[in-house]
Amino acid sequence: MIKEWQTPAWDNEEKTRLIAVLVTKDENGQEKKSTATVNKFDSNGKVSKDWSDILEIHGVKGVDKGTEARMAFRKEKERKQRRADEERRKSEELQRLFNSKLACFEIEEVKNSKNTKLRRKIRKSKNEIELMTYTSVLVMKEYAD
Amino acid sequence: MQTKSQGYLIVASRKKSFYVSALNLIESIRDYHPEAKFALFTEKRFMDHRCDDIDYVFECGDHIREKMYGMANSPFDQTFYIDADCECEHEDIANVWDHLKDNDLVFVKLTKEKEAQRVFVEVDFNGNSLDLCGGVCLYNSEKPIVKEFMQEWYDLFLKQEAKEWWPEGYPKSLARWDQFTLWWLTNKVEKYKDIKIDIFEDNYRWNWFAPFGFDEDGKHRLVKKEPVIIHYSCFFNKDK
Repeated sequence: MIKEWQTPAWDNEEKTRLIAVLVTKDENGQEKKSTATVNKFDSNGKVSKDWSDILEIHGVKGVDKGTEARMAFRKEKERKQRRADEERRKSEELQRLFNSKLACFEIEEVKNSKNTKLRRKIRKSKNEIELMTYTSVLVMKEYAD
Repeated sequence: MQTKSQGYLIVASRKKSFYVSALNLIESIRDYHPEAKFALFTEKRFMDHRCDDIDYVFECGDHIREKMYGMANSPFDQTFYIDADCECEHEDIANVWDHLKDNDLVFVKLTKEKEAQRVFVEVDFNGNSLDLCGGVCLYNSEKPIVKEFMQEWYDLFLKQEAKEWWPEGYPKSLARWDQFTLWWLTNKVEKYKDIKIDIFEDNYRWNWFAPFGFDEDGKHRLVKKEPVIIHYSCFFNKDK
């Protein structure tokens, strides 16, 4: 069994725990990848073998570099997630607005109105405030007429 | 030379909300194409005074897929069918007829982008793809074979839904989709092999689903120019 540690990064501020990708290859050449958390000290208080192996290959600078890369990756992931959430929110808003428009068109005065100019304004409303404003204006006009 | 009649066809069955939305769709098309002709297929129980200024109003059944029945019975020579839960937002609607060219049917094609997958959950099967979207369809309704195709799409889907027809070797989960029936007719039925099918050049502009979302500049995703038809299908209030 061949063991290889890849892309290690610090997992705590004290730098007594790190996280790394462990790649193992068995006698048949079958490769397996897993993410492992490695503590500096084992249960007897001695520096663990995995820890020594990782530091020997990558060095403290290598782990620092890996940590920076991991943090940048995480930040980018969070940015993308925020963007996706915002996009979903906007999309849901658009669809909610559409349902509200249809509800406005079912108000008796709006339903019976031939005022195409205001009906168009209602349809083109970009948000709930515009929608309510134009609907109110149309209803008032219908009453006035 | 006699000019061909052209018109928009909308079907609103089962729920009042589809009827209300269909009326809104008609008005939204008139905003950009005031001379447009319309055919509305709907249930008698929904019809009211708002049908009076629609060129053709036909009664249809209460099945969820009455749209294919409507499509088979278009009163126009060239027809642009649009799902009722859509809205028109662009003046290019008036030029939709230019896309028919010498084709019999023109569809929007479902694609594989992650934004598209927010809407279309079950597209690939057995190495094939249900990639023709039935949300809109521009077609040459003057040709008898095209009308027969629409009628068979309707009839076969009813059998498929009633579990009276299903081809062997195909995932049963697809039985709920009329898109499968469409795929079957366009790929497996000899009678329709010469029907000319094309895809809208600017694809999703003609059936842009609201969940596709907007990019960081606020522009609609998956299209280069603003959409002509916005589809609210996924979150549309269908319960009323």
